[in-house]
Amino acid sequence: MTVRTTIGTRLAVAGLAGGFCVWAVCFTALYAVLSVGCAWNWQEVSLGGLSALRLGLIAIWLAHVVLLVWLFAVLRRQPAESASAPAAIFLRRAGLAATAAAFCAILWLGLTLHTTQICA
Amino acid sequence: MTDSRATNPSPPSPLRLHKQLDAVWGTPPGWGRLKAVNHNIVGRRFIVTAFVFFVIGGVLAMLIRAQLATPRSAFAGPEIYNQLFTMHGTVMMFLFAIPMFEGLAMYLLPKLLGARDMAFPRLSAYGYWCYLFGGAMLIASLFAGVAPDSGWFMYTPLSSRTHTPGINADVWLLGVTFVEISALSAAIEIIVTILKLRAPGMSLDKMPLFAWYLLVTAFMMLFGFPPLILGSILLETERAFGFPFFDPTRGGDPLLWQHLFWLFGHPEVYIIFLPAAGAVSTILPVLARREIIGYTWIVVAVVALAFLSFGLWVHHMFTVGIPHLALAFFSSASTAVAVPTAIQIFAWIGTLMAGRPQLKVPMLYLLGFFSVFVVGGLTGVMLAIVPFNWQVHDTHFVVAHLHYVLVGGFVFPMLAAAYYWLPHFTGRRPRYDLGVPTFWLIFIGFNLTFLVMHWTGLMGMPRRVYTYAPDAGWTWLNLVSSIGGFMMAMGFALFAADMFLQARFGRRGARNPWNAPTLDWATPTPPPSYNFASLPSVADRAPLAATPDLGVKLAAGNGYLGFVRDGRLETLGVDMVSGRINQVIRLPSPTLLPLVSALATGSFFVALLFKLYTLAPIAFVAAIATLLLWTRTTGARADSGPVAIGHGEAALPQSESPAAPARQAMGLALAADATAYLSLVFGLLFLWVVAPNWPPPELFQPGIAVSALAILGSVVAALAGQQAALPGSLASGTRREGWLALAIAGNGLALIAWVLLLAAVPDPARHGYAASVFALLTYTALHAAFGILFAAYGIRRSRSGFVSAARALDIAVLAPWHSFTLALTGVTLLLLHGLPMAMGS
Repeated sequence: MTVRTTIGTRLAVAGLAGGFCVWAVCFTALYAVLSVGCAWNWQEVSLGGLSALRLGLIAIWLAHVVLLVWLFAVLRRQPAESASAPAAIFLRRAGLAATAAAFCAILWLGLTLHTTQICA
Repeated sequence: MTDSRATNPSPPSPLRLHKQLDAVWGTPPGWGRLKAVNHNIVGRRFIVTAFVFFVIGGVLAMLIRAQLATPRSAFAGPEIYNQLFTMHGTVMMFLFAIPMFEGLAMYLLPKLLGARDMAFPRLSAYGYWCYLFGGAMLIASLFAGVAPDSGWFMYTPLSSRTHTPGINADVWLLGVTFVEISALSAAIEIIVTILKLRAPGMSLDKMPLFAWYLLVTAFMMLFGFPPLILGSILLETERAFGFPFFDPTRGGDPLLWQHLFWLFGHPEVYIIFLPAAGAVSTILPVLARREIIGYTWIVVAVVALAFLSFGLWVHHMFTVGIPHLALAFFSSASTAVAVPTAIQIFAWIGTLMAGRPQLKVPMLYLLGFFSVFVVGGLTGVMLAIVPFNWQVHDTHFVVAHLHYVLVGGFVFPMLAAAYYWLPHFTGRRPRYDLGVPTFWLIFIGFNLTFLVMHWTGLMGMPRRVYTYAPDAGWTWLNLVSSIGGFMMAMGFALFAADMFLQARFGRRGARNPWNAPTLDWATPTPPPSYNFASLPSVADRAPLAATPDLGVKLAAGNGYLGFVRDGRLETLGVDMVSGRINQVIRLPSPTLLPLVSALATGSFFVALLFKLYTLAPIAFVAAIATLLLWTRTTGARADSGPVAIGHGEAALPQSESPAAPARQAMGLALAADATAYLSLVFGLLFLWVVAPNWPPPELFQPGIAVSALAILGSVVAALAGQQAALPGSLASGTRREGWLALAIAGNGLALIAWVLLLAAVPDPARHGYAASVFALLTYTALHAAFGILFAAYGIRRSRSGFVSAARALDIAVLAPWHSFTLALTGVTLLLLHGLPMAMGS
């Protein structure tokens, strides 16, 4: 196994859990900032017609969406020679699929940001 | 066979090899059985004990149904009824479901993976004894009339001292925590075993799906159980010493308990479901006579399910007054989790459709699983929708849903597993005379009991009430539920009889009656203590399909390690991803030490239960001391270099391998430790943001000099610990012991600083803030104290000749502890200094 392939395999293993780690961090950050924001009445501060709290939540969500897109791109760029090992092929595929699934989950989570009152 | 170098010995005759292996791997008879650490025995003990607890939980359920069968029943009063439903839930969740899967995992995993045992057999045995003693403690309380009575989720303030003044809640908090030691130890052991102890060639893509399911489940346990253990400790501290973590009049909040409980509680549902789904993914393709469809997609779905399941916990708290947007977050995750579940179900259905299914008894139970679990999943999606959830919250609709999920998602697959693997346990041919009527009794009884419970719930019948009025309109529905419940109980009685009769009187059969492709059926049945006389090499996901006579070849010693070396118990360790051999792992012989350690641990919990606070520290020290005694028989006093493993190949012994399982186990233990610590940090921040009666009457102002001392000590300890594990230090006894002595000094300085800070904390019984600060400081101080112990242990091992430049394990495995303690030091001090400033502003 070449050095490049080894790195690729490690990244693929990371990909299997990495995408959902980003989702989990995003989920936790949104809930934490929302809780703190509601406790401190950040929802009453207005920025461009939207509450500062909602804008902050959207910014957090967008940052994680970008992070996931970057992770997916990194996984896709893995060297072709890693395809010589069946384990590497499997892990690359699974990593890409898991990252794509995490992307869908984060989009689904993001839809909620526009659905309801923030602190009611 | 005494070959200890890289000269490959020729294997003896199969019979001679069996006798040699049995002599070293076997467990002594009579009282010697108490020394058992072998996974075959410990796994079976877990399974049988879990079934006994299942029977107890079932009897409690029957008593509940007897009480609710008619309105205004005088069968059981409210006090007894509270104990019945609390203990039913507790027994089924903590003493049946989790241990049952642990037992099945311990029994099956090494066989599925092509290994001779689990990675840490003594840990398995210790976990079993902790489980048995903790469970016995809970059941004993039932007979003494002081069983837990606040619901299996122990909500505060009902479970607080004011409303539960007896020891009922203490029994739950301490008993369950004691039992959870076995869950955490099993989690670490399962992960390390799957990642390290596979057959040569079994890369991750060739691993049986069951192993993937168990791997993911074990990770979930590793991160799911610490919040519950931490919460239990906090609540017990509140009950025993008045630290008001959950008392809103003194800066605590009952909702903190709900968060900590459900942070564990909801993943718990999937921790129970996933191993059962693993069994489905193993049994179903065999009975469908084709390879499972969508291997990669199933792996991805299981990983997705694990993560998403940690984002659902608040859906148990939709009615507690959390902001609407937060409810939407949790509703989102609660609905999303249905997708990976559906992927698995479609993969199973697709496999059935593409195969040639056989309608044998295990398949009957799988079909029962499909129908029941899908209904439970769909009502779960209904409950994930906030407005509907508000309508049926705390009604029998929820009771019906959770039983459809848990009985459908766990009990039915486990019944299928029982019929599928019984020939493996007994070596006898499967028979279906009783299996079919048993299935129909259980299936019809279950649906009669719980399908109508949806209606009683929708008609407004609340949970956890011991009676109801005749004019409520629930009478006949409850009667039907009770009749169904008793019918189901008869089905389970018949199941137990069927298992006993088959095991006792069944006709001897050949191995692999199902033509299964997995390695578990390559062992003789019943399996010998060592599983395989020689270890297989794997090039396929279905090794027995590719080589049907593999079992015979392995029994003849034609695989790896087809010999006994110096009376040692050996198996192979592999690279986590590729499955390439990278070490020979030596496993421990039978010993009483796990039992002794569990007795000492049990003494600690019993001392706490009966408020014997002078005895508790003694028992704690005794438990630690006995655990350290385990190391007397591990390691090597001389370098050996690569040793022969058969087929002309050689590998390093684990004591000289940089990839030894113990290193990974330490990393995992620290991950669980970090989760518990972060749960505590979450508790402090949660109280600060949400709890009433904040800010506290008195803030804690840690001294700068003492804080600097804590940092200095922790930095010195972490650096010294790392230096001791470097190759240059390991080569010289004086140098490595010098570094370890410095680590002791560093941790000692930090410990002094923590004690000084603890002495300055305002009265922890006055406010949740002071109590949380006290808890944070104690947590960090304990790590410094253990750092001293571990560094001293390293010096002792070094002086006893167990350490060299090649044999770095004893030093390297403990180095991360000191770094972890440094990280705790940083976060603790940041919070202690930062929070008063934030509150002041």
